[in-house]
Parts: sequence; C-alpha cells; structure tokens
Amino acid sequence: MTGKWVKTSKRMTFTYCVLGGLIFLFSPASVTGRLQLTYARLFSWPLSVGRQVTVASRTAPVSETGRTIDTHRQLQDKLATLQTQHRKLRNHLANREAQLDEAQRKIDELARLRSVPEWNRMSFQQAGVISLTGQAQSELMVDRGQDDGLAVGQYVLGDLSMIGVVSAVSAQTARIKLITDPTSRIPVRVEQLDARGVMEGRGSGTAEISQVPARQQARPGDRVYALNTPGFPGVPIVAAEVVDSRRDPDNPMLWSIRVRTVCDIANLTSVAVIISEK
Amino acid sequence: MRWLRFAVLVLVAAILQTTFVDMIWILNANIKPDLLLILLVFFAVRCDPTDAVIASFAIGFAADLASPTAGFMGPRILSFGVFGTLLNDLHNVFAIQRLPFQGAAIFVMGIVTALASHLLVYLRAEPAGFSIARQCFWQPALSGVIGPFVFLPVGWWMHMNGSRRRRPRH
Repeated sequence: MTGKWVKTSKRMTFTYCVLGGLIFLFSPASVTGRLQLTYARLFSWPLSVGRQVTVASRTAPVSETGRTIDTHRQLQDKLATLQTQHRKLRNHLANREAQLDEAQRKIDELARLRSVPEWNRMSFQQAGVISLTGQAQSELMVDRGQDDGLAVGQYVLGDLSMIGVVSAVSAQTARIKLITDPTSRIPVRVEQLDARGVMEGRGSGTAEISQVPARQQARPGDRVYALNTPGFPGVPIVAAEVVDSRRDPDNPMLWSIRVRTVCDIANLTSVAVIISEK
Repeated sequence: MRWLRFAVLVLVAAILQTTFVDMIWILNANIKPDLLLILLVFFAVRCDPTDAVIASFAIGFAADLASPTAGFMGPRILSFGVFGTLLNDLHNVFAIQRLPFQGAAIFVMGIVTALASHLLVYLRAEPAGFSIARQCFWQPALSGVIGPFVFLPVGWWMHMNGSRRRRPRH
C-alpha cells in the first residue's frame, strides 16, 4: 500500500481547494503578508535582476525622452516669457483705454451739463472724488482746489443732482460738505406738495425737512429741489427724494419729511463744482 | 501531470509577471499581459479534471503571492480556482482547440476572474482601486492575443502539446 496515491475525486479536491482559498482569504493579513515576504526574500535575486533589467530597458528610451522633455521645457519657458510680455502689453493697453474712457466720460459729463440751457451761463469744474470722509460719511474729498477756481460755498453737482457745497479748500484739494451732513442746512422745495422748508442733514445718506406746512402727506419718491440762494445757478436742481413723512409731534399741522440723496454718493467717482455765473 | 515542471513553470511565470512583463505594455504601463491567466487557461484546457482543479488553485495561489491585490491573499486563489474548474468542465462539452477560441477563452476568463477577485476583496476590505477598462478589458484582451502563442512553449515544457480529448459521452 505504501507509495500509492490516494485517489481523490475532482469534487472533493475542488472542495478542499475552495476551503483552502477561504482560509487564505480570511487569514489575518499579517500571516499572509509573511508568506508574501518569504516569497520575495526567497526569490529576491531573480526578482531584483528582473527589476533592474526592466528599469534599464526603460532608461534607454528615457534619455531620448529626456531630451524631448528638455526641449519641451525650454519652449514652455519661452512661452511663459512671451505670456508675461503679452500680459504687460495688455495691461498697458487697458490703462490707455481707461484713460481714454475717463477723458471721454468727462467730455460727456460736461456736455450733459451744457445740455440744460440755463446752465450754459455757468462754469463747471470737473473734480475727481478722492474719498468719502467724515464721521457720518457726509464729506467728500476731491482732487481740485483753489488753483482750479474752487472756493468755499460753491455748490457741487453729482450725477446732475445737488449733493453739497464746498466747505474747505486748499490749493490742490477741496472738501465738500454733503447735504446729508448733520451741519448742512439748505432751503428746499418739495415739488409735489409745493411746500418749502429747510433740509437738515442727518448723516448716513439721509436728511430731514422739518416743520413743512402741507395739507397732505408727502409720498415716498417725491422730488425735493434746492432753492435759489446766492451762488446758486438760478434753476431748480433736484437734491433729494422723499423716503417717508410723519406729522410733527408738537404741531400736527406740520410735517417732518425724511429724504435721501438721489445720487449714489458711495459710488460717485467725479463731481461738478459750479464755479460762477458768466 | 508533471508537478515539478508545473511548479517551476508557475514560479517562473510569477517572477516574470512582476518583472519582465513590465516591459511588455501597450498604450500605458498598467496594461500588460497576465502570464498566470494564460497558464490557468492552458492547464484548465489540457489537464485531467482533478489536475485542472489543483493547477487552477495553485496558479491562483501564485498570483496572490506574487502580486497581492489588496494586501492579503485569497481572492485570486478562489477566482482562478473556481473559474479554472468551470472552464475544465466546459471543455468537456466543447473542445477549445483553435487559436481564436483559446484567445477568446483567455479573454473571457480574464474578465470573470478580475470581477470575481474584485468582489471577493469586498469580503475583507474596501478595494484600493479598480479600473474596469484596464482589468476587465485591456489586460484580458492583451493576454488573449498573446496567450495562444505562449501555449506552444508551455506545452513543450510540460509535454502537453496536443489538447486533452473530450470525455466520451455515454
């Protein structure tokens, strides 16, 4: 009996093998990992030689590839340099275009001012806004001053509406007190009510017209015009619009009307200062 | 069945699979023929049923040993073993003798064993990365193209040139 193979059926062999496979599958990774490491250690020589040959076979074309890569990198560097130059030129062009646009915009602004017949008698000085200052953000610094003919008390237009008066002036710059400044007092007329009053600044882009004698309530959106005063053009110029109104608590016959500027002062980039009447 | 020759052959194939086969790639470095898959089909087609079962599982063991799929062994032992056995049974129904059929058999086996291994890995862990295109198409396809030509030297080495006869039907 010795030396004889024990005949096992295919089905049993298959079953044993599947069981063996499952045992391997669910064995801890440390155990199977040790088997794999043993294999790698036992056949380290052929494996390493094979790896070296493989790597060497890849190295040969790599030198050729390397030259291609170098050429590619040089071209990329050149491209980057050209792109930088292109970017500079593009920025230069953009600056020039912006300057041209700015000049065109000033021309348009002045042309619009001239389009009002009464304003033809006036002289305007275009001034760029430097900053919005003041505690209540109710003052503007502009880049024109005494040298350009600006003087304290001159009225200032923004987006063709009255926004304030020049309150201080230096040689090159000037400060404009906006109509929303708490110290600002401007005589105005509420058009729809045909009522007059004094508009006092309240800061934060609002003002209030107190003690307005009116038979009816002002509606939101009603226009408020600055009245004629010395140095004023002599034509009505819109200054604000009604936000809301309420009866005066002391005298129910009078109204307090809250208004706001009709010009987006926060985004204003330039203003027109009324210099003098011709 | 010459088991010593078989062991040497499988061992050499396993070593070649992780070394020299890296040189044979098409389209990208990850697409290369699977020598052990080719051997699996060879032995499944040309061995007796019991030998085919043992050979299939042994080749799967070598495959797991040489290039573990997810850090542990088992998925390819089972997938190679089961599908090698099935192919052997199928060969009893119709002979896979012509080169195109052998190539097609390798291709199909490559797909099913890759899918089965991938699913078996799920029993233990989250599979690291599975490229369906590469593992289920390109690699089996390349193996299927090369495989029939590898059969000749393998058959010479194993003294198994000439397909196993189909089992007579009673």
